[in-house]
Amino acid sequence: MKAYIAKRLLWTVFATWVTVTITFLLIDFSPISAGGAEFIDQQVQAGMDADEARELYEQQLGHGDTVWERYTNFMVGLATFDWGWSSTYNQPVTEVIANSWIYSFQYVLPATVLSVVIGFAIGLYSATHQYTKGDYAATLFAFTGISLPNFWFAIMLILVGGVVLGWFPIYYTTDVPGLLSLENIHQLILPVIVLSTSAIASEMRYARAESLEYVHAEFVKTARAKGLTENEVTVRHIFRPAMVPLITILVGDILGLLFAGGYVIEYIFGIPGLGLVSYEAIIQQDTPLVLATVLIPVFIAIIGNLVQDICYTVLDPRIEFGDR
Amino acid sequence: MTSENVTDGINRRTVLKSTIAGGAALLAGCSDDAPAAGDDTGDGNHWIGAQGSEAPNYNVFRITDTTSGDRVTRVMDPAYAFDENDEFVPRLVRDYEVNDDFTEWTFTLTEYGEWSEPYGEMTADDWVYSITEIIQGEDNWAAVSMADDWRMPVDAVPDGFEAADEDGEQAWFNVEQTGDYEFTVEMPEPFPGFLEEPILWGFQEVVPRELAEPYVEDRDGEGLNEDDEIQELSYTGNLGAFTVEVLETEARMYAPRSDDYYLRNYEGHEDSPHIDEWTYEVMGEESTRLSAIQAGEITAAGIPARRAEEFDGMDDVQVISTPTVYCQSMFYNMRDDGWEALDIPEVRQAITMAVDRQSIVDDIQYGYGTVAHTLSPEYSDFYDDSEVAEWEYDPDGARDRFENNLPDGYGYDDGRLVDADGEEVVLNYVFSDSADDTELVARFIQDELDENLGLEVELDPVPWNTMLDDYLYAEPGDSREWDFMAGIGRNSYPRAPEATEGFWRPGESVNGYGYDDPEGVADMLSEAATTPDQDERQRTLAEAFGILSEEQPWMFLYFPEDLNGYRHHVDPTEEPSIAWGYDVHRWEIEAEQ
Repeated sequence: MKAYIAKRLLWTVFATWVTVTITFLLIDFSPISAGGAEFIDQQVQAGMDADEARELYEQQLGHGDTVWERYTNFMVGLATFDWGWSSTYNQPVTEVIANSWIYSFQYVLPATVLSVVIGFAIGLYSATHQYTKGDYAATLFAFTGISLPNFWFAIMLILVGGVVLGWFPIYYTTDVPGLLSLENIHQLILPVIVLSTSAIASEMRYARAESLEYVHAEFVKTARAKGLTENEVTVRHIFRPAMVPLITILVGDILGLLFAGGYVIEYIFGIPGLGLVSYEAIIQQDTPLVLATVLIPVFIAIIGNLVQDICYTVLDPRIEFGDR
Repeated sequence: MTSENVTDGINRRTVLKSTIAGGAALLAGCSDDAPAAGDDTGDGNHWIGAQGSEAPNYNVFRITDTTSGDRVTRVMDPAYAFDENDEFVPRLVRDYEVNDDFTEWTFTLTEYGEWSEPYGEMTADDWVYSITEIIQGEDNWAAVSMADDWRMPVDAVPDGFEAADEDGEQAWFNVEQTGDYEFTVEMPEPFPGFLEEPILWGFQEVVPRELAEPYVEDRDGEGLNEDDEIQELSYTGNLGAFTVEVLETEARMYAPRSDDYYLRNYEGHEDSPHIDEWTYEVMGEESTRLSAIQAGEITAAGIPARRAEEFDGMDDVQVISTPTVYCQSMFYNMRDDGWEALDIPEVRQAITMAVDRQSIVDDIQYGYGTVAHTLSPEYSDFYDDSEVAEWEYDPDGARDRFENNLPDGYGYDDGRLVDADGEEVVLNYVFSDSADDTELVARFIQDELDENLGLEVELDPVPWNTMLDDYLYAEPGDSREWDFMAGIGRNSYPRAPEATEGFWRPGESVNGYGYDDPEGVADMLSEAATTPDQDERQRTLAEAFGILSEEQPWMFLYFPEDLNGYRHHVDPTEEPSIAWGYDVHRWEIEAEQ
């Protein structure tokens, strides 16, 4: 086990270097950002030559003259935990990340927990009650949830819940007594609903499909014949084996929620989280910040996959890593 | 404040220098105002502005965006402003004098200005130091934006002035302290429009000398930029109506009223500002901002023209439109890589005649705008009806003028324009894809040219940055193909139109469309800029804008209006104008019932 983990951690370093390098090159060879073009245009209107304006823009970014110089600066910075200066926010990159992650975490965590718990529960119920009205209702819910675009759903909830009913604030503000205050929880309800609706639907469909494999399995019939209650059969003999493949989608789901769903939610509700910061960094070609925001999901993905692999042995003792 | 060109500080300055991409994208309210969630709007005196994006920089020497400018303006006044009648409005600069030949301007600062501790009193020394050591610093070591403002072209650098470039074709202004609160700006040539140009007007590029000195000595531009006090605006003391307390990335800026605001020492401002607290919330999504004002959660929001009537009909919202200084236009590619016929003024005139611009204003801008005939709005002192040629919509006349003035070899085949080889002429219309209005205008013009001139036009929507970098500012040969270009709203500088000189000067980067200026418009503007006789200056400028209307180097389309919605309890103390918001600290907001 230890050798396996060590090997996986080494692999993490290599995979991170590859990811960061590719990201760096993609950004460095991208056309100038909209903000950069705007800056140059303003300088040109003031009488400056376009090439001089481009040089001034590069000077303000302060990244270095050549690709190799810029790349070296970034890699040395990353290795020494000096992640550089964000030109988008004019703050140290670490400060930007430190200030923003909590705002994503505070709604992604409950949305993830809700989607996993409710999604798996509904999926399990749906599988054990296949072709009943309850199953059809759950399926309808699932397809509706998957089909609703988050941006549209969020705007509709704001219009109905905020404008028409006046039950919820229309936008998110950091001007609250604390993250655990009622005011903050109140303003997070709509974002969590939007984010978890599609996630619940997705988890539910996976859970239903996996559980169905075991509903009519021989060992489940045996369990019933032994006189176990239906709840015991469902939890111990259907849900537990179904959990192994379900676990494999968790890391991907969390990342998806954080960075795909997160941007839309954060943009529409005005939540100053990582999704928004990451998006702005990419749009503005803020290389240090992009690399930092890329590193986070890379770490989550790699470490998360490692943790989930280890979880297999807990869920299914027949799996072991000795030969891997 | 709601719209982005409505404040009196850097905002005004940067807006007047900047370009609108797609017009409506900005007009639609990227900078709106709202009270915070959880804050009872009923208390009335907490004004919270919603901005469409985060402020990218608080380094006053580098700011070029209106979002950052808006924020700085809340905590630090500009040198001076102009009111709705274009009258000088004193702020940190209280008074000015100019010599007879307009080569030496003397400015007097307020004696009540204080920096934050430990920097003490704000004096002329701070101003002169910031200008001479940072803005005019050697090799622009601080990477200052707009440093070129503080120099001017000369035939030869006169004695007593320093060359600002290697060729000796530019000279720096001399800026000297002449008293504790007084400094002079001396130019090598007369500069009668200096006051109205966005150089010292809206100027905020000044920091305490003591703060800047270590960076100046080391020529450490990055250090200055990354200084905590610079990026947290914590040095501004009593120089603004509010004092920053909270700056949160992608979230908000919160600034309560400054009780020792220097302006309170002056008559009429004893109780300024009338607003107790000011917050900017970052709110990127337009529909969120509109929902917020509709629900009464915010004080004000920019309103897109398509929804102006709806919001104007709401009991609790008032919609106020203000004129803008920007001209939405379509550029012609008159360079070697453009269609050759676009070099001919009559062809350009015919194209203008073939497009119903009033319909664009009425149907795409919902009536909120004015048809443009030249790069000067009708309200400008330099607009003269008798000089300006107005090319009215006339499809038949356009077709005749077009056909009669095409280069040899072109003609019509079955109603379609063909070249000497009998191939149909197809022109490329590139436009910024960032605004729906720009695309609607492009489709409309495409239809008009197809129907009225038999001219085939292909549309090519591209990102704003691509359009500038790969088309407009790329040399022929390196550039991608284009014939028409739209989505760029150029500033008309109605108070000091000489600032548009570069638009027409051959060889200038900003004249990226290759206008060769056969009538010498650029020289006329240059001459006007140094003409001490104001009547002569006005005549020259009016004539220049008349020539432009005749020449049609661009198809001038329209001057759009800004639309802002305010909750009914906001009582602006000024008339709608291009100066909108210059006096915002005296606006009244009462408790909402």
